[in-house]
Amino acid sequence: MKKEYTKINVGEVYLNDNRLSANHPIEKVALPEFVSIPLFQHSGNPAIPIVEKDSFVKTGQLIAKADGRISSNIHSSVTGRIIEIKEITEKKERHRKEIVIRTKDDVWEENIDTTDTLIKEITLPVPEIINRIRDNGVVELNGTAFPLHVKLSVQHKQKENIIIINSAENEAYISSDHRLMLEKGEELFIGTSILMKVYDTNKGIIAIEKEKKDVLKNMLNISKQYPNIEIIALKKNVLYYNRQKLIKTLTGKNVPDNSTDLPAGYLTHNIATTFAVYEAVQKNKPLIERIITVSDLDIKKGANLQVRIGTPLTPIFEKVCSVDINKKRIINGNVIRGKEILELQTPINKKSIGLFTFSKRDTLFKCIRCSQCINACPMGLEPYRLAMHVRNSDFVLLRKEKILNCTNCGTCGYVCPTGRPVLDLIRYGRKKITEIQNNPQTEI
Amino acid sequence: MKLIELRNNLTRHRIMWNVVIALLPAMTVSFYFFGISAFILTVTAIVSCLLFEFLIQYFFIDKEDITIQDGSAFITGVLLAFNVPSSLPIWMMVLGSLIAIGVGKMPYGGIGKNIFNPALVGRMFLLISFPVEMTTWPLPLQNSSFLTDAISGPTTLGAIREGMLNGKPLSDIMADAPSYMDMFMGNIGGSLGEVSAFAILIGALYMLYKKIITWHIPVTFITTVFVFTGILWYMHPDKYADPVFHVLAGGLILGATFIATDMVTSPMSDGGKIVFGIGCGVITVSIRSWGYYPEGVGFAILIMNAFTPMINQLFRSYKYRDKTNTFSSTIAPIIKNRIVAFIFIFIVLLTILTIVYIYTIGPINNAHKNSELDKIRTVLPAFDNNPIDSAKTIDELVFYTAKKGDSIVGYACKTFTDKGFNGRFYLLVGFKPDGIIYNTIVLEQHETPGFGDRMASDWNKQFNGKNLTEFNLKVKQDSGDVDAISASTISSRAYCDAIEKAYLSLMKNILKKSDVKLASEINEKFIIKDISILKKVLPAFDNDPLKEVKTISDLECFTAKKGGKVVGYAIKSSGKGYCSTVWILIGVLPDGKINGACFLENKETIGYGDKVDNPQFLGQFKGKLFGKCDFEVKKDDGDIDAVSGSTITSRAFCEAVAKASTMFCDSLSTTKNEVKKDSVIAPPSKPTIYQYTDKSIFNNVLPAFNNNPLTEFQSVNGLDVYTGRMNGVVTGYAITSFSKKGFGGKVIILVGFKPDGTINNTAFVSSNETPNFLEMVEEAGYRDQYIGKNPATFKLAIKSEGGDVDAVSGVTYTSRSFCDGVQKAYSSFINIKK
Repeated sequence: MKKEYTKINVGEVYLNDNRLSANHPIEKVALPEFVSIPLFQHSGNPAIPIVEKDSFVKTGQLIAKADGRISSNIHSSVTGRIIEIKEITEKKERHRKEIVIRTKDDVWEENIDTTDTLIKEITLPVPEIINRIRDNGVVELNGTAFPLHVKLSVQHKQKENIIIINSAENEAYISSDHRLMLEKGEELFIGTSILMKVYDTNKGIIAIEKEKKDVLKNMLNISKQYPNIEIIALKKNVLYYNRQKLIKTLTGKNVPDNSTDLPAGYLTHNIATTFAVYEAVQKNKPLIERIITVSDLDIKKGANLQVRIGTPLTPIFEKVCSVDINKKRIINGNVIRGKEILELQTPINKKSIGLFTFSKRDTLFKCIRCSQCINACPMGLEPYRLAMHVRNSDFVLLRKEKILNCTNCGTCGYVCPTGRPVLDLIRYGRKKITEIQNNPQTEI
Repeated sequence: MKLIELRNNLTRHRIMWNVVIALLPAMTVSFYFFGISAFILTVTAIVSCLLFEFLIQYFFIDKEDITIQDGSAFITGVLLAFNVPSSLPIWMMVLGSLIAIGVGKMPYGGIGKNIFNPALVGRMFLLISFPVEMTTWPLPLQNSSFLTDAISGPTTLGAIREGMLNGKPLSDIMADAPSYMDMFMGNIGGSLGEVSAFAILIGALYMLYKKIITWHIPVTFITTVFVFTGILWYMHPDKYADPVFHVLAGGLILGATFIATDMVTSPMSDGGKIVFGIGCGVITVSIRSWGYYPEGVGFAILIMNAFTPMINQLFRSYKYRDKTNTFSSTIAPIIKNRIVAFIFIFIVLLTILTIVYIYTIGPINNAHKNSELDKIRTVLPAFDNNPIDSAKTIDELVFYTAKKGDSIVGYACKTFTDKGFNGRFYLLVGFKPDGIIYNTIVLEQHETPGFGDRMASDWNKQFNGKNLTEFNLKVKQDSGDVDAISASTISSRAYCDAIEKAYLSLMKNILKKSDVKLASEINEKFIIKDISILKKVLPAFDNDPLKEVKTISDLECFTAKKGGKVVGYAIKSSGKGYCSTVWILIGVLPDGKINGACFLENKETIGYGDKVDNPQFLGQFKGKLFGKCDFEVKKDDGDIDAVSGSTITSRAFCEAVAKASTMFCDSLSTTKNEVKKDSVIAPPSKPTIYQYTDKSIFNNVLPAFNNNPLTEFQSVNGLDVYTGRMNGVVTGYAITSFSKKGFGGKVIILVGFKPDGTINNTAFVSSNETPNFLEMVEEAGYRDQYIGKNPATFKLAIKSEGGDVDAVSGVTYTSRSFCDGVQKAYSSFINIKK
């Protein structure tokens, strides 16, 4: 029986590559009827809208400004009329807004280069580059969406900086980076060069897994023109989403800390971010579209789609399969521990990476006390017990059981033989507990 | 639409169906050994469990939430079927399934929430409600055992329990138990699943490989049983069976690997599992050794199931992946807490027990004393002393003398019997001064419920006023005069046994009359009452052979005639069996050919002795000629195939046939061309029994000699006789003798006689006796008692059989066979031409 996953450490389950969509070229999704652009799709403060209801906007027009230092601009992804500026009031602390635009057309702003021609020369000086990145609302394109210009403007202490573009995907089934490397390889090199210029270094590495032979071939070809950028092929089955491990393997050096880039001198970014950098700097194109992978695991079908930000899910899924929200679950991000999307109207935003859908099970099967979850938990918790308490709404007991130690790794739910959604139950428990902490009169 | 479960491969379906696969070897073995009934029972159990789970869920819980396809009910059915004998009626199997699912699983909330293992709940319910059907185990390889009358018997553990109750030394019982290989492969009596350790182990290894169970519970469970029984056996090998036997016997391996490891009812942490395994092992051994049930695995697992939630609570997970958590800050306190908790609970319990004991033991004893006096009053005529003051204890029986004034009005004896159905129970028997029973009552018994009531009604009045030299103190089924209580024959027999003990002791020790004979002993012969049994063994006849009975050499012989001509004889003979005398009837034609043989009375161990009563065994006698054929079992170099596992009973049968044969040849045979077994045409000129390689053995046995006795050989009465001379004068005769009554078969000994007939010394030459026991005989100096004795005055039989030879305790068979050999040697000695 082929093992579908590899366990790295206890609590970290890495699904092996099982791409359903790696061979699908990137398709463009037709413009939806309306888009709903959230203003909180990045880390930091939500952007503040600068347009009003019923005003007419063009594609690429700035519609919300960054609020504060750690924030990002947001641009319209279609041409049309703003129907409303919706307030989403789920969480009472922050008012979350979304701008809803009815699509009429696709007319881009004037100073945006919408052609496909490759611009190789990097003419702008570094501050200009950073400005462009900021103005175009580029964020680090992973689940956290940290504003990139902030990252880039921090002073570097080390002299020898090396840029590493990591293409080893950490999310299974997601093949958007793969396609990008195949179809827009040279743009990636230019983007890398831009970053190298910003960081004032002349050494760059693009790390690619050995098994992606087509990608390697393509990139190696292109790399002949870019002597400063080295392509390093990584051995199969080694798991490189862990930064320390990646750096150790590529350069042989031990990087002490796992969290911040800066003191170490190694700066890592991923493929999608690099591409966004290219587009923002060379073409002055704001971040209004993303390439995401959509897969249906039931029918084992997937596609790589180029989607405008704010597109609701229905037209996206229509490319792959039909989605009945009552019968299927939709998960964004990591298949095991990603967040579930409950409404089909939820829009794609900068944080979207990949969407999966698979059938829901109606009944919650009972725990058979097999103790797999206990063996799997890296924090020494007993997930079956936590889930049991959540089901019984015994929240006082949950705090005693240290539910707040849970790191959301999702291994417990993954290994449960009866398929209980243990992680979801624990997440619910945590949510309720923090609610109760903040507002002791919350109804349980 | 296929349901994708986005998980790793160990889904609940895979768990369950892999367990089913692991059970397949044991299922196949059970079908092979127990035939079609095993298959039907297993299928019934599975279907019933699934059906009941479906019905209960559909009607009582939730129409939508039906989970029979997860396989757990299936497994419950299989395991339940594995725990019952193959002769269980089908409706009981269905009822057991109903209880297993409906009581053991569903009321707790269905799978995952039950505390006790459902299969065990069902089994215990069946065991307690239908003890007879659940403890009658058909022996393997008798296909279709519930369609015909099966031969059944107890499991190996049950046989040991029963044997020990009957007073058999453990060594004798163990020797007749199945071999380890039989137990391992499965050729023994037992429930469907427990017989073949081998098949179950294959399944267990498969489950370990598939990571469905971990090693912790099975290994600790079995190891604890092994170690615990090992310690007991080492300290008292005569009371406890050896550990290998215990591991292979009963449902231990099945229970430890399939039932105790059930995920829902066993602890989740590794440490908890080890505790669980040890607890199960300890309780199992305790029940097996000292409890009333011969098998303890089921109860042990159920008891430990009850502790599982507590173990789960105590063995919480404490691993953290953070470097800041050190041992002392996180783990040590937890361990300290547990130890403290256990010690505290232990002390509290002990204190409570002690207090309760101290406060109640006084009143309890007083109550006993008072009631004891009252009870003595009921069994004796009026008296005015306090008999308890003058109580005398003789051989574990307590005698109380009751007086009125100065004259003795009677004796009350507190007696007991170990032959009760559930062990020992105590009787109080009141005798008048001449030994006639005045009254009897029961003091303490653990028999089946209701027995006490039945005993206390008018039943025991039948003993009153009876003189045991005239009243046959055996139940009517044993051709005595006592009316047994219906369905309590064993208890009634035990009751008589207790009275007999009391009477014999009274006669011997108090009234000092030592040659009293019980009526039951005199009338021990079996009386044939109806003619049909004669028809079984004789050819067609038209007279009434019961009227034409002759007694020749203590054997009764019935003549059958047709038209006035003798067509055959039916000879009633007996042989000494495992725990009783075996009576047989053998039909022989006038020319000496055996027509048929059958049992008249077979009170041997159930499951072993009655195995012999089968057409295959009995049929091999047919056609053999009296006088020409060697009626010994093949083990003893004879021609008869003994029944495996019932050697001693088979031997008894052969002994009886041989007796009949000798009687026939001596008295009834009309033809002259039979050849006596022991006579030869010409005496052989070479040793026939044993070839010695050097004469050193003679040095020990004969008085001083300086010739080579091997050269002076003669054969007398079939035995080899060697003469020892000193300077030409005969100093002694060394006779190689043998006996077939050895435990392992033939025992060859060498006896040295002085010319006047006294025994100089003896030696073992060769035998198949168990080495341990042979050593015991030698170490006990058994043979020393023969030195210097003259068999003319020294009775060559063991003391319990009326002779003068002290047998070695626990090695009766070897002692007896040696004695028998010496006897043979002596009869040879007498015939030596001097």
